[in-house]
Amino acid sequence: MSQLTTVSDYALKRSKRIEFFKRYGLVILFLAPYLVFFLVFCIYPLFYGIYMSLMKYSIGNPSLNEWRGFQNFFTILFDSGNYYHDQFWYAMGNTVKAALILVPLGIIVPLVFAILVNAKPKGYKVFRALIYLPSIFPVSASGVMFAALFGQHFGYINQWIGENIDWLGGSATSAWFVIILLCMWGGWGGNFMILSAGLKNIDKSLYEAASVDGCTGIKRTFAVTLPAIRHQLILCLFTTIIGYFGLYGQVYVLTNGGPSIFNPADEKNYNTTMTIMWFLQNQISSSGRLDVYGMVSAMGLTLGVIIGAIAGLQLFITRERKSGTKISKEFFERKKVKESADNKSVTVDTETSSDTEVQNE
Amino acid sequence: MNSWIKAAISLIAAVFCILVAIDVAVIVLKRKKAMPTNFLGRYFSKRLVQFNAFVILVVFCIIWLVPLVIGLIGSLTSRYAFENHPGQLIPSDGLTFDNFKALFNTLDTDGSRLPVERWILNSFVVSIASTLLYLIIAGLAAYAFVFMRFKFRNVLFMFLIFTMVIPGVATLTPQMSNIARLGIARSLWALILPGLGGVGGLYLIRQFMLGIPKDLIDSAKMDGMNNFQILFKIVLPLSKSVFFVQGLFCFMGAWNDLLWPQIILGTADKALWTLQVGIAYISGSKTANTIGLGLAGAVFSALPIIVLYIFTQNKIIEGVAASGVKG
Amino acid sequence: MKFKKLLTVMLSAVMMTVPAFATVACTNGGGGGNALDNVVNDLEFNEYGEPIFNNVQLKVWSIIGNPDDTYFAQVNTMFNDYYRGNGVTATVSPIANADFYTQLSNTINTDIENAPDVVIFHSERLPMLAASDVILPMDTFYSALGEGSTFSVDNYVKTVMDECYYKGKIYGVPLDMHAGVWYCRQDILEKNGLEVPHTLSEFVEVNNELIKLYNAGNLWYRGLEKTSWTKAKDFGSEYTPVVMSAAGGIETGWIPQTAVLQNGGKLTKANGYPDWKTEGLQNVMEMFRDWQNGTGDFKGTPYAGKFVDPLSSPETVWSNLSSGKSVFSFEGTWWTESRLNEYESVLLNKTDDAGNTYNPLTIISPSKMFALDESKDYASNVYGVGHCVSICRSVTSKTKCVAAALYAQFVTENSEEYTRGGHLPANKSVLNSDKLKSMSHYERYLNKMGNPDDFVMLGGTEYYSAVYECLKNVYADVFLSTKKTTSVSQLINSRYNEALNMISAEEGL
Repeated sequence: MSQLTTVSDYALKRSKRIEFFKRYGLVILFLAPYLVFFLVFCIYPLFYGIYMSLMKYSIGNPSLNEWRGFQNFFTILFDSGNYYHDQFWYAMGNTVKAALILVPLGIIVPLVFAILVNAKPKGYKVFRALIYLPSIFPVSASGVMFAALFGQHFGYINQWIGENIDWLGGSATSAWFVIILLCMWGGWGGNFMILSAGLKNIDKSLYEAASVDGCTGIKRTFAVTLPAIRHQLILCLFTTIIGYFGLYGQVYVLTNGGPSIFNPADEKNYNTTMTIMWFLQNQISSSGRLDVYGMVSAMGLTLGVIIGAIAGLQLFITRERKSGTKISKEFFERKKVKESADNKSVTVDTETSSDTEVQNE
Repeated sequence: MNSWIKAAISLIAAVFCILVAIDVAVIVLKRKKAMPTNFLGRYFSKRLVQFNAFVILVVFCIIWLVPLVIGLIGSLTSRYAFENHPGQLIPSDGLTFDNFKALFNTLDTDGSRLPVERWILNSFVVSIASTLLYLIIAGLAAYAFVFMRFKFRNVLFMFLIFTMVIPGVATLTPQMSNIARLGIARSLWALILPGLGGVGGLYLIRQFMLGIPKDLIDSAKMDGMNNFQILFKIVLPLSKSVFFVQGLFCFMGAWNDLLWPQIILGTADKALWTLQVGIAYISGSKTANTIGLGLAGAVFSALPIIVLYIFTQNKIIEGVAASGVKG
Repeated sequence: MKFKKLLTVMLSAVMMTVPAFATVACTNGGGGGNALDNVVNDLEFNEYGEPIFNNVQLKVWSIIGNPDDTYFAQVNTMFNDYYRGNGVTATVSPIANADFYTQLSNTINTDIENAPDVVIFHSERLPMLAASDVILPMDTFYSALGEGSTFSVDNYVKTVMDECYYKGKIYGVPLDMHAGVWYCRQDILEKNGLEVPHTLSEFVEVNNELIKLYNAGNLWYRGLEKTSWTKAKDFGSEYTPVVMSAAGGIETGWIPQTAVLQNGGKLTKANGYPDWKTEGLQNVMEMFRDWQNGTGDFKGTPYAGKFVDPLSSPETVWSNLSSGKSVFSFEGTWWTESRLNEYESVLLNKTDDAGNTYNPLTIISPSKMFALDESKDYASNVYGVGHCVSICRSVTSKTKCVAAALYAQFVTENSEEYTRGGHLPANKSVLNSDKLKSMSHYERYLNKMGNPDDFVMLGGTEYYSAVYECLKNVYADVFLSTKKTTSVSQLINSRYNEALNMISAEEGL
């Protein structure tokens, strides 16, 4: 009797195991290579970083490390007057201000040019290629070019306009101006491409439907065009926010944090173009301390949480809502019904199917 | 103010004035015609919009290319011209390849020439290897995420996405000890492998694959095709362009990367360096600190990418376009 | 976006943290503790009482960069020639990298296979490395040699040697000392009937004369590109005889340090805290600012507003100096040889109308050049930095440590060739050796760098960047256009408080 149960148990287990492998074996086979690398090179460092952030962590000698619990985070968040606290939040303020300018610019300007290119003037492919061209350069290379342009004594711009403006060191405004220019020059290509692709893929019949309803021009842009490319806009917004909160390379090559200003109110000096990433990198490479790594990790994680919160908030705000996309959605539904009524075979109509796909998710 | 910059600015102003004049003229002349009733659409016909876009884009693209032109010209300008006649578009003592020669002829401490060719080779090895490997493993994973059903699929993917917001500085030190523990700290593998865990490319490929109609896959399954067959016979041919694009992104990323190779191999044998590390070393050297050399380094190190872009720009753009379809 | 999902993601992340902590907690460790305890005593002696080295290979990381690394490589070759027979060889990798110290620490802890055995670095960073056990105390290795040891701290210039102590133990052997110097277009001064200045008042006076001559249209000048003498008419912009490089350059960092020392101040307190908030510093900085802005004592003088064209790029500095549009520039000494060669090859043999030749370029020691009262003893002080040679914690064999200690001793005692790069030797026997004095560069520039006994170092602090960088910023601040309205005392106070604030934050980590 007992043997019988064991056999049936075994059979059951075996069949379950087989079933499991039948069901998941292939999944594991497909996913495993990627997940191994992801675990080793993304997750492990991440959790080690969390571990470091709870310590006074020295890269000079690990045996000198001391457990600090949440002290680092407490310092960053609440310990006003502490050097790290003050610098972190000042740099954070700079970064947020830069992002407030850069994110809208980085969406609107590419959008305008995407609309222009999408009007398909003569040679629009050439324009498209030229607009994207600067984006293939690394910041280190484009930074050198901008430094050559905006240098005070040998810079081309100053020579051309016959002035002696200290663009990068003269004032915070001019320094930020050049940084933002470089960000735009070398960084908007991706957004431009994605948005112009979205425009290109808008269903022409959507416009027809709109114009039948007497909706053209500017009104059409807001009622039809923008809702139709909302996925691209959301994607651009998400990546642009993440990107500019990590603003570092442009600052490093152009101003290296400067120019410094003196604030008479608290009698302190501030590096006006110090972004949060620049501050963190600077702590690592030139603070002259080997034991700041716990603090740097804690600041990096705090930054990550803030970016995550903002990105999450953005996704929450821009989530699918009936009202905003009503027209296009209804249109697609109508179109689908029409198509199936026409009994057409399902052709590879990527645009339509993908759009409905997202709504289903 | 330089005379020709004045000329350039007045030219741009003139172009825009003429543009506005033409617009006004066309609108006034055509006004009597019946037009759809709306603000812009009433006045601007399709061809007028195209004409306006063309003029604006021409002007804009010329301005947009100024830094690149300056980069190129500056790299061909001698130090003498830079210091004594700054700002010249065509240097008074002619264009020179001295800066590029200096890049190739910088001497090491032991008097030997720095191995620039070796750096180029290393850069190619790293870029190509990391690109191919990433496309394979991320392609497989993306397929699993899109076309296979398993528990926590979306949760897992969301988790991947959310690791993107953690900045690199927080994980730099553990990453280095990681590399050392794997025993690859002094080899090119240290530059190839860490990138394979990246989320961005997987995200892009997945987004594209989501656009492939499910019906296509279902009917293939009904025909008795297994996952491998579906992947190779249906999904891959359909998503060629996104693989192409992601491949180029990977290649550019690996080729342009400076910070990580410098950290990992900066202290290693110079024969292991990549081109970017080497160029940074030469142009950062105390005796050779000139604008021209810096620009020459920037131009030279970007050369392969520029060539790649020229030959593939249409595919890149179509690919980005296609991948951007999904939000 | 479903927020339940988000919650699950977060929760699973937290769940995964726990095992991850467990694993990382286990993998922690990897050396440390009292670093000396890890050194295995495998030292053996032969019948003559000499240590037996069996093919000991020393890996040396050196921060000495281009162009001086070539000269140091020669010293290293000498060591190899001398010690190869005894079984010790050394290979140097110059690591001219801003991240030298981070990379060193990281390599020692994560990648011990590739870690160096010997490091050569700036001695002001020694307390930081010693506090983290990155480098080993060296006393024991010299004493292990017993009678055979010829190492003595008395052989080294005292101030430089003092920098190499941490908590009473020797952690490094000083190799050299160097400072910023004024590069001076001697030919322009002499042609215009002026003399090379050697004190602050002479310096101010010479600049005054130059500007007077320029204003009167009587200033003779020539340059590397235009080698014949001409009278200056209009240089295009304001004429400033002095050019100075951008705020990032370490040369400008050395001026405020020297100013503190030459006016009776000290840079650090015994506990490593900054001590540079002195009246002397303020006076010198105010003088510079008055000079630059044409205020105070400089009001109404010809040279008002014409101190420097400050904080400009390295290109400006060299091009203005080489074209003759400027006469003085404050720079590091490693440039000296190549610059002298460059100028002399073009200008030395060029005669003027009267058939006279002039020496185009010379260097001036900073001694007394920033002192308001030149009669004081301390007025001749020079802020110096130096390289030192240390043994890394990665060495766990006592034999190798002893070999490394011998290496440190050998290269510092045979550094004559190395001094070509513009570094004064820290070793007294090298300093006084006939070999050095007979070398061509000694008369040419090395002995113009200042009296070795006048060199004062930072003073051994664990808070290097707080003490050094904040003071360096004071000097940059004085000329910064964004801080024109801020008084010098406010600038000094704010930077001093910033240093204290940094230190207290670092201590509270």
